[in-house]
Amino acid sequence: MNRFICMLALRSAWNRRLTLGMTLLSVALSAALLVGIERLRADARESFAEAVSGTDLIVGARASPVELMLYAVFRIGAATNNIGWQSFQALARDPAVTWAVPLSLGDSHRGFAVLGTTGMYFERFRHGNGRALRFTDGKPFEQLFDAVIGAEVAAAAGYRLGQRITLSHGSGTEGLTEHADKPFVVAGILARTGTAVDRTVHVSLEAIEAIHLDWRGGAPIPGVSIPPEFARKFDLQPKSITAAFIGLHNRAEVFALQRRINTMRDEALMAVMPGVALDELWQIIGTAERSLTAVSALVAVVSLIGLVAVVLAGLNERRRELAILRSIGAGPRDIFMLLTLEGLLITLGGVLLGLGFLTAGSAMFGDAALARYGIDLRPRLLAMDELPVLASIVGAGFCASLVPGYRAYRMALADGLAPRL
Amino acid sequence: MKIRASIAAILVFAAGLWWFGRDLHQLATADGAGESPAYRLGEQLAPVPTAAPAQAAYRQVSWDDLLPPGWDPAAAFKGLDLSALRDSDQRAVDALAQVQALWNNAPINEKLNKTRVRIPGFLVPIERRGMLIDEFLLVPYFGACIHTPPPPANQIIHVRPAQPVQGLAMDAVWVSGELETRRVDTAVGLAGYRIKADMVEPYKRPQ
Repeated sequence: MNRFICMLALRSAWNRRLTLGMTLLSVALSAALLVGIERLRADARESFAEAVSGTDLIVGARASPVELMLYAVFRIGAATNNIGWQSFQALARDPAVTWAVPLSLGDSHRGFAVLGTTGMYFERFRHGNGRALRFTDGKPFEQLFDAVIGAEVAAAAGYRLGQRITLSHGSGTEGLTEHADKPFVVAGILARTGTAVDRTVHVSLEAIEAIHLDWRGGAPIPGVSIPPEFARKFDLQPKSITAAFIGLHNRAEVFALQRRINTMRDEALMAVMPGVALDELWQIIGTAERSLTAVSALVAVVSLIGLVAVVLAGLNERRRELAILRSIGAGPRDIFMLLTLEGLLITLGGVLLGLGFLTAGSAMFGDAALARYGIDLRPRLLAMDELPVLASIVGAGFCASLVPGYRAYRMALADGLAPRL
Repeated sequence: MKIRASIAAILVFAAGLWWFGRDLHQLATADGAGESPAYRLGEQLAPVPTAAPAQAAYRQVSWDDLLPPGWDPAAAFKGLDLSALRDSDQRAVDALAQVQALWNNAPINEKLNKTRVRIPGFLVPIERRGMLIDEFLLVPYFGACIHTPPPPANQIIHVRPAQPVQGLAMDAVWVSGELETRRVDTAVGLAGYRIKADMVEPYKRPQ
């Protein structure tokens, strides 16, 4: 008897394949959306938190800690003020400090940030869980007009070692003043990190000074041009930098040094602990992130209501079918089971299909997401913490299918057999 | 009859949605860390006597135990009538600088070396991996080091948990593990405490 009912149910479902297929698809899409947003959020947060590691303090002009993090680590926005070179040197000599890497920002190349720094940057900078920078090609800059480019800069423009590139003054892509008289040579290409380093062109601090030698007040001096071969003869010691990364001998000393920097009398400097500032930044972004999750939950609810609607509408269509089943001996309980199981199977199938969509999608668009948005999508089939989300979709789907099941259960035997007027 | 059935069915559906929707709601409001109760700036955690058998191996210590006996953090203020001084008074400025220097070179309680302790405090992350914290500093009072002068060196513990912990800056936690004192021979670096934590658990405020 049971096998017979199963056969009948399958045949019946096949008969209604279009409606059921659409329902399956809508459940699949909503499950994919819900889990996808959750994964995107987790991955975004991970790439975000892994942007800097091993650095105890980030120092910049006194402003907002979040702002300092944004420009020094993520290359977003701009500094309001610089750090004097003297102050930086004093800081680097502090007995608590193991290493200090200066950062000078403000120029760009095709929309990618240009970072003036020292060779120590490539040794000291860490991202992720203490991972160091690696060169896929070439080496750190040696000559004045050498540049080391991030993986994404190299990929976007197809740059190779030895290629000449021109930096622009300011940030953006269009209508910028070019430093065309002093082209740089690509000396090294860094391996992909999934951080802002990929989108950065690194040059030496002296080079930043050199390209601005014949500039005064934010514009080139008309009629004055210092050719690159003469630039080397000038004093290229930087007068100011934008920010600095600092590492300490004893990490517990970070508070004391931070206090010393924040209360420095000679210059208004500020030091932030990356871990703390990242948390602050994340709390700001967290609101947007939570509303995203709320939207995807709403989408799931809407598609589940759609599921109920489709099955309920199908009930009318199936009145005769159900009545015939009843007349050949199926009890109300069988009918209830039939409808509820169908709903449950559709949600289950939908969720599995959705996961399939998601895996295929992230395999297909993972590279684009990394290149465009800097989000490293990690392909995975199913993570443990996604189980409750999926289970709640299936559970809600089951509850939704109770509704038509219950209605059919209450329908009288005569209901479907009586001629309709 | 039919209407009543439909209403009942819809109620069942709504109840199901609510029940399973709670998960989604939790997802939407969870922020990595548990709901941390709001602490006031400078607030300290009350040492709650907890007598679970698993914790018997650890000796519960307070932040005061970390100070060597006889060390007076306010020695530089001796002989000064603080209420009579204004902030801009040079004597006050000098005393503050002295206190700061004293605090930075604060001695540690060597007796605690290699003891297994359990201590409550607020965490300040220094090494992160995604949502997880691999390394953090434990401080005695809320808001320490971010908004106020830093605590003395003997009131900061450098913690390396055995398992990375989830949390945000200034979450209140219990840390259990072997305390190590760190003597400093070189001119750089201060003395201090370290814990290789076997366990880091959220702190629950006593009712």
